[in-house]
Amino acid sequence: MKNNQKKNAAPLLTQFLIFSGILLVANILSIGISMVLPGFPVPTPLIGLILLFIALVSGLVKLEQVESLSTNLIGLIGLLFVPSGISLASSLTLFKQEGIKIVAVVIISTVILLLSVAYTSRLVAKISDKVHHKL
Amino acid sequence: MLSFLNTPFWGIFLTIIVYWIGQQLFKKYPIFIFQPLFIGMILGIFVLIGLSSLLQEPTTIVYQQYKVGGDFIFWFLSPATMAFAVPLYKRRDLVKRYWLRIFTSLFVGLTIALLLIFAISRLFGLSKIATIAMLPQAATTAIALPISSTIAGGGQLGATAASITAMAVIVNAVVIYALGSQLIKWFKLDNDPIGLGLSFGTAGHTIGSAKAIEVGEVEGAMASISMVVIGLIVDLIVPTFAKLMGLM
Repeated sequence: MKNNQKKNAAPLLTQFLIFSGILLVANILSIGISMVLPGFPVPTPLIGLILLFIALVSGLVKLEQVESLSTNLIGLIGLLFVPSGISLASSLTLFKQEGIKIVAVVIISTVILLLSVAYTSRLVAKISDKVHHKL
Repeated sequence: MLSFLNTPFWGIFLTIIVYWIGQQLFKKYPIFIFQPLFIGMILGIFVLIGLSSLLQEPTTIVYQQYKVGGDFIFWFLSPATMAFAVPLYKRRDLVKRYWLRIFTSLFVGLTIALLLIFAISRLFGLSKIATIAMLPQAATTAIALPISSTIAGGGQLGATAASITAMAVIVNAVVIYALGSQLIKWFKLDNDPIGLGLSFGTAGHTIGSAKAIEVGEVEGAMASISMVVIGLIVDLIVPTFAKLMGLM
């Protein structure tokens, strides 16, 4: 992490160009996939993430060309969620009918997700340890 | 003069001011309920409801006006989600070393969780649309919303499902923020740093990752890795699962 020769960040315009270019390609791919496999959405940001990762690993894009914009965007992520939270105002009738039930299910689901992933991971570690010991 | 409500300036300003108020409150009173996102969302909804009774217009109309500007901010979730490629790239050593364990844990863990979440939704008697909205909640918003909307069939139904999923993702984060430390103690999760990181990233998304970073560096890195990988896995298995359960 503590790299002495940390390179200067690329100009903002370059960073915007890389982001918007990758998102455009990702969007075209997303539309293409939805035409081949309707009903299986592959969201544009997910494809964009994979493309940017590949671009970084292959050296096509350098870390300093995307790092500062990425850090800033991730730092603002809470704000970016606000409109989707407020979108609940558009389905207030449904929420009035079963809102408490929905919130209860979400709270239980959170714990379910946490425990099923944590315990599966532990199990996977145990199994792979055993396999390694046998080898 | 009220036509300013139809311009993007209104929605953009409202989004920023409610979040800013949330942040100020949280700085003064760092209690989980004052989490800026949660406060911002509640305040925003209250403003819109207040406005609708003031103008004697239906909430849907007032929301549509807000959405003109809200969509501008919402759009930035796409590049922000994509930006997670950078922390992932920085910790590619961990990805390389543990990829099989990460992938199997998340794949099997999510499959088990989906079955349980589906069963609980049935048990509580949730409607079909709300049940659909519960399924993609392990993924972060920018990935979960389009999946939720497509499974529900797009259009108005899709928008309703997406808004419930959006709330679910926020509540996930609030629960992990509030109970994270206790859950670690109760279920002795700290014996396994990788599992702790993966589960916090899955259940609590960005806020879960922030919480995991407090526990340790490996935990934090694993949480941000899991947020990305779980998005991919949700995308792969949730639509299939919904079809199998006759929701699609």
